[in-house]
Amino acid sequence: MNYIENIYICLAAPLLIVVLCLRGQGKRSILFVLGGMTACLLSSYISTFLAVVHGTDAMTASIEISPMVEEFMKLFPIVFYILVFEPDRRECPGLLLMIASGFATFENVCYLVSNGADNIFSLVIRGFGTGAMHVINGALIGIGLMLLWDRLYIRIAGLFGLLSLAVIFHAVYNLLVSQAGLAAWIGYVIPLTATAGYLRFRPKQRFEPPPGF
Amino acid sequence: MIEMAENLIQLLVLIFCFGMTCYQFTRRSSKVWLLLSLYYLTMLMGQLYWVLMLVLLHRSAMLDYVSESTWFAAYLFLFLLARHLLPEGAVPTRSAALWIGPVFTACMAVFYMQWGKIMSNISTAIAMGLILQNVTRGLLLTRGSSARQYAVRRGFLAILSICIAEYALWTASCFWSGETFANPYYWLDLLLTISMLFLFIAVKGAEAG
Repeated sequence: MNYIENIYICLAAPLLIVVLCLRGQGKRSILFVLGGMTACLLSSYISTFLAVVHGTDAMTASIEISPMVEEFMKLFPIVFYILVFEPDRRECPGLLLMIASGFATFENVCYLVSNGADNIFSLVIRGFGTGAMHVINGALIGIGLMLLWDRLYIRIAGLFGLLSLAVIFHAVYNLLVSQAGLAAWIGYVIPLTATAGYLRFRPKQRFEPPPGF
Repeated sequence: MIEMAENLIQLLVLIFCFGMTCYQFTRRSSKVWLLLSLYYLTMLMGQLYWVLMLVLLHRSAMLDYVSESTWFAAYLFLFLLARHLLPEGAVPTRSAALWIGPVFTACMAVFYMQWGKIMSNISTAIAMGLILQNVTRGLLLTRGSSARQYAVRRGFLAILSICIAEYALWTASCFWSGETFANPYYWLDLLLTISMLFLFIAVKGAEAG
């Protein structure tokens, strides 16, 4: 049994102290990392609850329930921030990446606790693969949202569309890595390749929407 | 076997269309290309998920959350695309014809509720109704004979052909089952694949015009 609340407290405590000491952009970034960890904790509860309600096994839950719940929960901190503080839209992609990194870190720690930390090779692959998948999903929603920002109906439809895209990307990843052999390798390679593509084509400066957006 | 072959053909067409629209988006940075590439990517990922479930788990999805939200997202991107294809500064029309699409989708949703889930049918009907309403508006606004209007009209006709193919496909799946060439479902799915390809060609024409 995993006591994920205890793990969460241990990971979140130093970050909370850092938040109290920092100001400005750094403080905001750490808060969003914490938001990602909290989203991971809550989505674990909700996924377990839905799996029990539907009477599914762990495999079906990880492919058909968790992607939906996790991507929705990851979005809540940024939606709250947008609705309450009305920030500059150029801030959103970076903050979404912070949430994604917090989420992936907490998920990896929980995986380590339940599966052991003896095989460094598979842990490196899993660590980078899962991290890349969450970061790519965050980047997809962040950049897509920024480009589909101009009117309210575009923002709402675009947000739901991008969220669903992140969900299906997550579901395909979970489906592939739940298998053994080549399928799992392909699963780990897809987000890593997508991250390499993102790093290759990302703007050199702070992300600015192209003219006409 | 027929289903798998047909799914793979659609997957390949979607990969091709997504690659081409991404290329166009990097060249022109237009919102129309962004929305079209998002539509193709959503359809592509949905189709990939479906094929992988069949290949790896030998079954389709037990719960509808992921696949239903993916198809709904694809229709939302198609709706946004239809909105952005409308000519700039066009006067909004108030024709009664605008309601044909939403009424049709509402009636079909009631019909499909005999087999499918209520919420899923309602959400699909809303998305399809919005698409058809904008397509009708676009067709009404591009009735002229200029080359530009003709090119944009082809874009709307391509979206309309996708909607018609989808509805024909869903209706066929209510009455026919079985993996044989006599099942119209597979032919209609092929028609949908061709419509997706036609959409790329039509939007390229509309953007060039």
